[in-house]
Amino acid sequence: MKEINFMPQTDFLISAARDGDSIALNQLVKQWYKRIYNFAFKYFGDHDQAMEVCQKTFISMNKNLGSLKEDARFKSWLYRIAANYCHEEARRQKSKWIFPFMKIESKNDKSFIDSTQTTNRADDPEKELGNSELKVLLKKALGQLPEEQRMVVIMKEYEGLKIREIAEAMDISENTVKSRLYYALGSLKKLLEQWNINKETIHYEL
Amino acid sequence: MSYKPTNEELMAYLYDEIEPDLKVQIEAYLKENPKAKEELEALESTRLIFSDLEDEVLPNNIPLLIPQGNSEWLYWRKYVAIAATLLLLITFGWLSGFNVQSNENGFQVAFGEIKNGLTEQQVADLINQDRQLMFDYMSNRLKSVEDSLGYEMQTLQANYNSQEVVRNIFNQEKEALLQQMTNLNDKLTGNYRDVLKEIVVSFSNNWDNQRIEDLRNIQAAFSNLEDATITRQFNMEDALNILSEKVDIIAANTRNPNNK
Repeated sequence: MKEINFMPQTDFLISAARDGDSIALNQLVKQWYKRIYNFAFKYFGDHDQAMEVCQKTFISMNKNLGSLKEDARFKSWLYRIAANYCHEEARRQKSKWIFPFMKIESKNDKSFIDSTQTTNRADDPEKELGNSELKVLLKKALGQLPEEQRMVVIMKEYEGLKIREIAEAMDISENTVKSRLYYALGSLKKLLEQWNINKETIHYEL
Repeated sequence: MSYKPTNEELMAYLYDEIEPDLKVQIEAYLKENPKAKEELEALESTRLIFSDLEDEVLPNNIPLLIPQGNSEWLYWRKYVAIAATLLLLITFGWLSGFNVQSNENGFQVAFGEIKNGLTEQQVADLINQDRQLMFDYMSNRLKSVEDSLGYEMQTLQANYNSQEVVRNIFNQEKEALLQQMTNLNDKLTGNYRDVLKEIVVSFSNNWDNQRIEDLRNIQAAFSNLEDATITRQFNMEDALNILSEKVDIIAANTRNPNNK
């Protein structure tokens, strides 16, 4: 069932939550939960890690909301917290010698990805891709980007942040954001070319 | 002049977060450089393909809701609200003497003491009583109208009789007036000759006096006429003398023109 959004404006909620209104705080969490979860999920490609980052992000938000000086910068402030926890989680996973997004290449997934990947597609480049197949490949492509580029692409393409907001969230210059975007898109384009994925080969399942 | 945008500027252009002036410059550059345009379009296509990656479905329960400090109160407050509402209703009912009762007569609700309604007989009696009252009132009313009409008739009759009285009085007054006129006529007849005589004498005297006065006036008029005539005669004589002198002078001048 589609949820009707009767929530008041974020600015009002931030103000109320800062004053200790737990209902406003919960509303704020509800409002942003989906976005932060999807941000982390696209970054890691993993539900558990996305949930971990989400929890830490909103606990931190609750603790530090008082330190937010400008309510208008709440969005980039929240993504900055999430991005920091993503980095932390990634470092933790690296120390375990398990790169997070590689998790999707479990035994079952690996055969599926192999079937959609270069060898078969090179044999039949005109073969159309199914929707679910495409999603798996796109996630894999994102996972192959360097960490910093991946984060910038996710923030821009899926979270809809402005270049300025991304710069604030990642504490880098706007030019660095643009540069990372340029190289990230270039890399993704090459990957798609390698896999023979283009507008013509995408088949949308009904 | 060969402008070439940087990669960063191309990204700003691609995401439409660029200054308008720079946008115009880049558009001009892309128009002149089809290869660069093609590369940028390839990046745009890549973006479009990646936009197919949709949001993940959220877990049903959001486990992140921060426990509220007074969650016990939040749990109980709806019951407290219901209890407070009931208490308010009971207090209001008590203050207004609200009464509810259920017996063989049925379910009864009232503010104050519950009173049973009237029986059918009581209602019938009330209606009859009301009808009787209305009947009495109408009767009295009719009687008073009848009396009023009778009185009016009597008055009219009385007026008719009084007309006779007035006519008698009128006749009497008429006769009295005639009598007075007759007496006056008789009285006038006795002195008529003397009065007439006095009038004639008086008239005659007045006539003589008037005639003498007129004669005097005529005499005076004649005297005036005479005086005027004499005066005019003198004037005429003087005029003739003057004329005679003037004629003499003229005659003398005519005879001796050289004297001039």
